[in-house]
Amino acid sequence: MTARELDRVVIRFAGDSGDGMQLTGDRFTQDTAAFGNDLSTLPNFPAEIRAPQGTIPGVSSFQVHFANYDILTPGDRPDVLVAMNPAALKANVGDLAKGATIIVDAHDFTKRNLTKVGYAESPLDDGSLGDFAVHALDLTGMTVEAVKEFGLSRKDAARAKNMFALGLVSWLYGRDVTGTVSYLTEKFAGKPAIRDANVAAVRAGWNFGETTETFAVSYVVKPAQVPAGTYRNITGNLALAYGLIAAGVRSGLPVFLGSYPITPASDILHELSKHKAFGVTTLQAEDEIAGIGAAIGASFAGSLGVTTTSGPGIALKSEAIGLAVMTELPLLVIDVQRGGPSTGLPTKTEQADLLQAMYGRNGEAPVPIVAPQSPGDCFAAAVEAARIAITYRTPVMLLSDGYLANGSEPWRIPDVQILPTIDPAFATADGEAFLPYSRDPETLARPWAVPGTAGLEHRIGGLEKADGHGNISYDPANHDLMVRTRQAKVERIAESLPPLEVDDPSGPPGSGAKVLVIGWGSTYGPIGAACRRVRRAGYHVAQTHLRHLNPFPNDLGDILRRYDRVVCPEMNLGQLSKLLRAEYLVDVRPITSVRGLPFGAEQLSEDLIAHLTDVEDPQ
Amino acid sequence: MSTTALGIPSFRSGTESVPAAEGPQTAKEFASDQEVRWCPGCGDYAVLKAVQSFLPDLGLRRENIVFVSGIGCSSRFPYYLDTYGMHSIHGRAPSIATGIATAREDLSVWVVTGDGDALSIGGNHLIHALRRNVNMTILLFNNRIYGLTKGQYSPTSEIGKITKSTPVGSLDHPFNPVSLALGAEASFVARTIDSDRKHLTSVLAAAAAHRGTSLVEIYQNCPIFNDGAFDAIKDPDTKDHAIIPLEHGKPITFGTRGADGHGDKGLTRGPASGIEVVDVAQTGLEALLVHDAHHPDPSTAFAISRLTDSGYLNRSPHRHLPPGRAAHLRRPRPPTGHRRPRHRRGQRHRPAHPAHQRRRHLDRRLSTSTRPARTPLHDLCDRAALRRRQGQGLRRRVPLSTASTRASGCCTSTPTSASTAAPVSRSVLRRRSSTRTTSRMS
Repeated sequence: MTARELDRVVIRFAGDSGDGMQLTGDRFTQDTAAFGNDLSTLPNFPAEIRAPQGTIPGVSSFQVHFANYDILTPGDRPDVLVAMNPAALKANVGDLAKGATIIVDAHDFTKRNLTKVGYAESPLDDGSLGDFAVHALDLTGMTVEAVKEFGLSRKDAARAKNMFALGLVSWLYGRDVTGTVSYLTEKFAGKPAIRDANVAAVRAGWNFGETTETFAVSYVVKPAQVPAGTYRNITGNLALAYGLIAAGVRSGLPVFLGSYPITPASDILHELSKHKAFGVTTLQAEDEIAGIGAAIGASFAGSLGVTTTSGPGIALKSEAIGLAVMTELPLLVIDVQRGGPSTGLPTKTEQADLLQAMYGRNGEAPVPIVAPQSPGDCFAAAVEAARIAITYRTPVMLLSDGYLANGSEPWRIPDVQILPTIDPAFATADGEAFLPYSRDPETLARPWAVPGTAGLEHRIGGLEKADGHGNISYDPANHDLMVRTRQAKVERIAESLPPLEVDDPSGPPGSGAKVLVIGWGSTYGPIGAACRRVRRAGYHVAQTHLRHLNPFPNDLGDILRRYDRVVCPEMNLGQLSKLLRAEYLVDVRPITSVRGLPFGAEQLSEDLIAHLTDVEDPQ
Repeated sequence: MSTTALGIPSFRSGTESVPAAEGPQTAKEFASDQEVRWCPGCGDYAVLKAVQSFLPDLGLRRENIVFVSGIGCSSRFPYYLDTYGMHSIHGRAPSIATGIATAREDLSVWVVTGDGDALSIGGNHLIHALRRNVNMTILLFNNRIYGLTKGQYSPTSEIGKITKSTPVGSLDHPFNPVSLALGAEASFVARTIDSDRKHLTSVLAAAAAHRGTSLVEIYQNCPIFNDGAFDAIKDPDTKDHAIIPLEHGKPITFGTRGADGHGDKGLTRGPASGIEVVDVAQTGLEALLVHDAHHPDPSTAFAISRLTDSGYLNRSPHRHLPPGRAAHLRRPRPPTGHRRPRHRRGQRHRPAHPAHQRRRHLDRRLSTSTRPARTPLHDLCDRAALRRRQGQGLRRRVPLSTASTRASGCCTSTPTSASTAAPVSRSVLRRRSSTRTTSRMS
C-alpha cells in the first residue's frame, strides 16, 4: 500500500435525499477543516424533503474541494464520486474528470433500481465506466454486518451505510474520524443503539479501507499554509447570523429579527433564535410582510431591525421597504437569493434579484446594496450593511445567495475589537423644537429619536414629509427636494467606501492587462479560479469584485475606463452589466449562467480566454 | 418536536411596565400642532377627543406612548396626538406595533385601524396579533365603508350594499369583528360607539389595563359615504332595544328599562345552541345569563356576539315563530344584478342561469345555523337608512334582500352605557401576555 501526495481533491457524495448525504459531506468537511486543509463546499439537494426513492430528481449530493493551498471554488470535476444508488451514479457521472474514482454501493444496483433510472444494463458491467476506476462494494451489506450486534432492524441498520462510506473515504484521504465519532455520540446520545451502530459503521468503513486490497493507494493532502489565527469551518448563513450579532454588539443595539421561514434563508432565523444572551430577539411572523413590519417597528423603537428572506419574500416586503425608505429608519433586509422567478428553484443558487433589490419598489426608493463574496465573508458583509443602515438611517439590502448560504469554507475568527464600532447617535432633547427631518450635513442622515425620549415626540409615516419638521407635505417643491435628498443620501455612502481593489499581477491598472473581469457576490470564487487558470495559460487579466452595488464606489468609473474590455460573469441574464452600462456608458460584456449552480472555473476560463483573444486579435 | 414550559412572567396590568407621568397631564398636552383634517361630522373627531381626554387619566409618560396606524381615514389619528407615532402602510400596523411592543416593554403601544385596514388587507396580521397576544391595544374604527377611497363596500358592509364598486349590491358576507376576534383567541374584546364618550372612555381604560392584545371595535359614523349606519343604536327611540349592555357580574337585560334599571328583555341560554332572547316578565331576572367578562371559555361571549348577526332575535317570543324554522337562519342568497328583486319574485318563470344555480348551491353549502347572515343591527340600521333615503327619493337603491329578514325592531348586541360598563372582555386571567418572553427565543 502506498500513499500518494496530492495538492487538491474534489469529492462528491451522492445518494437518495434520505440517504444522509448532506450529513456525510458535512462531517467529511468538518474533519477536513480540523485537519487544516483549505476547503470549499457545494451542497446540492432537491426542494422535496423526500423525493421518490431511487429516482434522478431525488438525488442529493454534497461536493467538497480541499487542498494544501488557498482554493476559491468547490471544484468543477470531482476526482471521487461516492454513489449510493444507480440514480446517484447516473446524475453525477457526467461531471467526473477522466480517471476519477467511483465508489458505488453495489447493493442498490438491483434490476428494479436500474430500470427506474433508465439503465437497460448495469453500468458496472457494460463497460460504460471504462474511463474511471470503479469500486463496486456492498456498502449496505457490510454495514448491516458491522452493526448487527446492536439489535437494530435491517432497515435501521442499513441507514448507517452513509457512515460506512464516510469512514472509507476518510481512510482513503487520511482524515481522522475522531470528530465524527464525538459528533455521533452527542447527536444520538438519547438513542444508544443508533449511536453505537453509526460509530461502528464509521469505524468499519475506515478499517475496511485499511485492510482490503481494493484500494492500491491512499492519498495525502497536506494542510494549507494560511495566515496564523483561529479558524473554523463556517457556512454563509451561519457567518451572516454571527455578523448580525457582531453588528449588534459593536453598535450597542439590540438585534431584532422579524422573519418568515423560507429556503434558503431559514438557517439565519434558526441561528439567531439561539442568541438571546447577545440581546437578540427573533420573531417568527405570520408572513413575510409581518416579518419586515415587526423589524421596522423594532427599528423605530431603537433596535437594529433585521428581516431575512429570499427573492419571493422580497417581492412581498417591497411596500414595507418603501416605508423604511420614507421613514428613514435603519433596517437590514437580507435576501438569500435562489433561482426564480416565482417559486423557481428554492434550493438552487442564482443572482437574479439584483435589479429587484435596486429598483423593485414604487416611486424613487433608493436602497443601498451590499453583497458578500464567500461564505465566511457573509460575516463582514453583515457588519458593513449594519454600518450603512445605522449611520445613514436607511434600509440596506444584503444580497447573499443559496451557494454562499449553504456552502462552507474555513473562516478565520476575527478579533471583535478590530471590527468597526458603529455609533447609533440617538437624538437627544436640547430644548429646541425637534426637527425629525433635519439632516446631518456630512451623511444627510436624519435624527433617530427613539420613543421614551422626552421632548422628541414626533410622528413619521409613509406620506411625504416636509423637509425639517417632517409634517405631511404635498408641496411640489418639497417633494422634489425630498426625492433628491433621499437619493443624495444613498449616493453619499460612496464617500465612506475604501478604494476598489483591482487584482492584476501584470502591472498597475491600465499598464498590464487589457481585460478586466468584474463580478459581485458569490461569483468571486469561480471568477478568481478562472483568472488563475487564464494567467497560468499565459494571459494577462485583471479582476475586481464589488462589495457595494449601490452606490458604486466612487473610483469604479475610472477603473472600468482603463481597460479595453470589461467582462462581467453573473448568475443572471446580465443585471450588473446593465447597471454598469447605464451608469458609466462602458460596453460591459456579460457572461451569464442560470443553471442553479455556481460557475465552473474551467468553462469560465474558456469564456474569458475567448474575450482575451478577441481583444488581442480582434476579428 | 416537543414543547417546554416557558415560564412567562406574570404582569398584572397592561401599563405596569410603562413609566408613570411625574405630574398631572392635560388633554391639551396630548394634542399635536397639526390641523385635524377629517370631514365635518366624522365620528373620528369624537374618538380623537375621547382618546385625548382619556390619556391624561392613564397617567403614563407621554414619550412612552406610541400610536401606530395603517391606511384609511382613521389612520391619520397618530398625527393629531403629541406622542410618538407612525402612520404606516395599509393593513400592517399590527405587525409594526408587534415589533415595537416586543422590542420595548416600557412603551404603551396603540394601534389605530379601520374595518378595511384591519379586516381586509390586514386581516392576517390582525388575527395573528390577537393570537400572539403581545401587549398592545387595537382600536378598530368600524364605519362599514371605505372612506378614503371614496365609498366602496368594506368587509363589514351588509350584504346587498349599494356602493360605487357594487352598483347592484354587494355579494360579500360581512365579518362580525367581535366574533372574528373571539375566534382568533383574542384575550380582550370590546365593542363601543363613537357617540357615547362615557362608555368609550371606560372601554379604553379597561383595554389599556389589560395585559395582552386588546381589541376594541368602535362603531363610527361616516357622514359622507355611510351616514346613519348606526342610527338605530344612537336614536333615543330605538337604542335601548338595539343595545345589549354587558356589565361584568350583572344579568344581561335590555329594552324598556323598568324602575330597577333592568330592561324588559334579557338573555338566557338557548335550548339548541347559543343564546336566546326572553321576556324578563315571564322568566324572572334569576333565569337570565349573568355576564362573566373573565370566563376562560369564550363560547358564551361568542354566542352573545352572534346576536348582532344571527337573526336569533327573530325567534324572540314576540315573533311567535313556529319551531323548526331553522331555515330562517340560513344565509340569504346575495342579490345579483341579474336576479329579479325579491319583491317581484313571486313565482319563478325562467330557469336560473347556470352560474346562479351554482351560486345557490354554494349558498346552501355555506348555510348553517352558526353562519347566518342578516343581523338585527344591520336591519335596524338599514331601516333607518331606508327611512332617510325614502325622504331623499332613493328608495330603489335599498338592498332588497333585506326586506324579508328585517327584524321587528327589537335588539342587537352592543356592550355599552351604564356607569360601570364592562366590555365583552374575556379571560383576562386565562392567557398571559406573551410580550417579549415567547417572542424572544432563547
